[in-house]
Amino acid sequence: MPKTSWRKPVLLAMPAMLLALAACSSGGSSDSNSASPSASPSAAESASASASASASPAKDPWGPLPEKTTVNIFKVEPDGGPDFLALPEGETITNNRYIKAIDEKFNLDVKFPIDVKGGAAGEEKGNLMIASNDITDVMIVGYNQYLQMIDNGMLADLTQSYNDYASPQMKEVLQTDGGKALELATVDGKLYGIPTMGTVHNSDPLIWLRKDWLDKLGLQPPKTVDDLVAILKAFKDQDPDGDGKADTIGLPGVDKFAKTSADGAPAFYGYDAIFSAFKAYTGTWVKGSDGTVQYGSIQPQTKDALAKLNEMYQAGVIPKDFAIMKNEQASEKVASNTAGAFFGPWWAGWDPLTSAIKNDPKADWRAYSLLDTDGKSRSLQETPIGSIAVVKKGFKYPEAMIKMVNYGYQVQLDDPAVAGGDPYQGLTMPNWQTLPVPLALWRADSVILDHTGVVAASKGEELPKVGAATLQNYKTQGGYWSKGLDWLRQNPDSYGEPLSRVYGVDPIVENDTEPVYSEYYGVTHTMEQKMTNLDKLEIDSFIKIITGEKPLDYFDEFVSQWKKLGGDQITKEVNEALEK
Amino acid sequence: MVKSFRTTDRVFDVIIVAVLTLLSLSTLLPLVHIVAESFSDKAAVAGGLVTFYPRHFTLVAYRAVMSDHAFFRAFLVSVERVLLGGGLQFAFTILTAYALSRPTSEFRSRNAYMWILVFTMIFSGGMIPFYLTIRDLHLLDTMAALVLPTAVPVFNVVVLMNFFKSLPKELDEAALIDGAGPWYRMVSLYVPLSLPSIATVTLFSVVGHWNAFFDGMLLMNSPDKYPLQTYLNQIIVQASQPQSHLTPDQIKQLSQLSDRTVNSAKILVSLVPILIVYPFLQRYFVTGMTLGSVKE
Repeated sequence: MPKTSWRKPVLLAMPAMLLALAACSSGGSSDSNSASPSASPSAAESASASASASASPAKDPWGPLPEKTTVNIFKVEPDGGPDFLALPEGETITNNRYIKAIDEKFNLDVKFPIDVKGGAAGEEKGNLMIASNDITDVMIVGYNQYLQMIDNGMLADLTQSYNDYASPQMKEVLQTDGGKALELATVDGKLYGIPTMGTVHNSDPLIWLRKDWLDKLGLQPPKTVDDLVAILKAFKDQDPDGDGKADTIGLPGVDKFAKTSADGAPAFYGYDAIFSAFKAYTGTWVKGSDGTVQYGSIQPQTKDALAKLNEMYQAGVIPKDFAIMKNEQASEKVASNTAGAFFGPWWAGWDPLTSAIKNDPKADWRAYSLLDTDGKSRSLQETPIGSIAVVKKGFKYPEAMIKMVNYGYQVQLDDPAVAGGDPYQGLTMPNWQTLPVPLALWRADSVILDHTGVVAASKGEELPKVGAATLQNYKTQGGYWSKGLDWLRQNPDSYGEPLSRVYGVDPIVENDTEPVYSEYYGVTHTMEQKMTNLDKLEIDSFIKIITGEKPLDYFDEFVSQWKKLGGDQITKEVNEALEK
Repeated sequence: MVKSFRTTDRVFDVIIVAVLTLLSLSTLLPLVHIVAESFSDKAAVAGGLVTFYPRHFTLVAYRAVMSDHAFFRAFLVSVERVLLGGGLQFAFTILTAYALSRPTSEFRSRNAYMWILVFTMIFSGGMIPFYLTIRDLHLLDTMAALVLPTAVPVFNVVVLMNFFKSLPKELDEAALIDGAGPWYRMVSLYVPLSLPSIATVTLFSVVGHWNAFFDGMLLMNSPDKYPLQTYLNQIIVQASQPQSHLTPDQIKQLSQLSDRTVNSAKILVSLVPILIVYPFLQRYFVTGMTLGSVKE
């Protein structure tokens, strides 16, 4: 019922939009090239025909709106106390210099009628607002919410506003992921929001090891899963901490040890790297041998990976209770130096290793990549689209949001001083979460770029061309790094970032890790109903096989179960959706 | 014969004492663990090295709590909520229970009202209709949204109503003959005689209001108005958020957020009011009986 009532106006509006599109694209070109006599008259005509008053001079990404406009924004305050926001005294997340600057620059009166604290509360409230069709003018939503809102016709089409008003810098940064995020955000040829991108290599599961333990036991860093298993056995049995007690364990685990369809990225302490080493990409859609897209978890490679995990479980290098461990418990094992190895992303240096180094300042943590059966390093990536800023259908100036994001990008990464004051006096990067439209528009390639920058700064070499705030951070972290590991261990509060940025990213650069993406990130009709149960079936079956409760061939039974319980239907729908 | 009876008696005692000890330990030890964590060093807690006594004793966590304005603001919101909500529930519970404790001969449509109340106990509209109702009543973002929907706690009403019913009818009749009207009988007869029961339901409503967190998250439109448990839920649940699409700021935050020592200290401070309320209500649990008021 709501669907049909929404569809009609959209259909009616389409010819008008097409007209506007034609008008504005030629209008844009006449800006740069004044001598285009053939195009401009027709452009002027169609522009007046489609009654878009903002024809010529107003297409300025930095220009004010024609009239004072109030924009209501749904605010989700980040977790953590006010000190994380690092705002100067007297400014708050809902009342600060950025909000004032936006008023001055764009004639926009920003209001936050609905403001919640914490990501969990934000998602809950957001779903509620969408379900009750009572949304604010501008919101930041997740990808599933975004698709749902488009389906219900709640969002303004921003295709045109984006083309006209997005700043060149924003357009450029949104291409650093090869345009993946924009592509996913474009539904039936129309863009309804500004997406953030997944950061390439941000979640690559690396194997972090205590180098001092390796050296003590006379072991080489691992290249393959089998190397790793040998190391883990030694870590468990040969008393690497030298206290004469058998109190060390192999590899901590976590209840989410394999990626399922619901997860955005491989999990901290998970075993995704072992699956990837067998070229099994669980929870994603992969190209099958027949050219169709198939579900990664049910491929034969997954069976090989499970066989290896079962072997590791039998050897005792995977703890008996791995499947019920929470992130926090696994983290304890590392922080207390009970475990000398764990799977974690490049940024594990901050947490848990800052705690680990405080508890044992002798520890020498390094990260390595595992190679797969082809001898190559490949890693599953986080979803290439993060959160999306959207505008409510019917809001008078949809470009207002684009302008706020233009400004936000300038504050975050370009030059905070130019953008309206730098509360940080160049010490740390401005916290994007204090912006009225908090969209984390980091360059998708920032992991490698920042690594290069910090390493170059530590050696006093030439730095990459980046914004002032980022540059300052390179110098700070590079400075720490150049003081050496011993200094960092004595000053554990400065230890996390340089260690992560240098040692954490080294293996990705050295092995030239190839990013692996899913072929499909949307949600089909049957997925909505059945995927939760299928994910549960998947994890339960994996646990049974790894713990040896069921033989390895139980995998085949799982696959047929999975297909029967809706998997086949979902696969069909995914392939249909991709053909469109 | 007597001796053997005593031995089984003693065995039974031992078993009871053992079971009760285990039960109380299972509730006490987690609390002791939290106390120990709150006084310990952050890195030691992150490493899981703290069990029942603090390691590297420090008051840093409590200092952090004391300087956290959001915590105290939420604390005050909760106190306000308990006073208002508890007061409302107190009044409505007694009034409703008294009326419903009258026999149908006195209150003819009693059963109809009873069914209406019990119906709400079994069925509810669900989250979204609840939200829409509160929104359409323009109660969103107000204290009323937290206290009005639960102003008549049906379960408490039923408990108190049954207690009123169990009071000797003779007392009621005696008062009636002395010329006491319904109000007078309620205030001067039923309420004083039912203090143990009223203390119990009041405790239910105070603890219920103090511990409620979800409605705060759902219905408040700004974090300034969060009650304490909504605030605590937010700082403790965040650790289990998915860890993808993190930016450097968030990664830095994450490493500081896993500060279990401060969280433990906050949990302990939030327990204090309830710990204070208990002993005050305790004395009503043992006194106020109607023993000996009627000769049969």
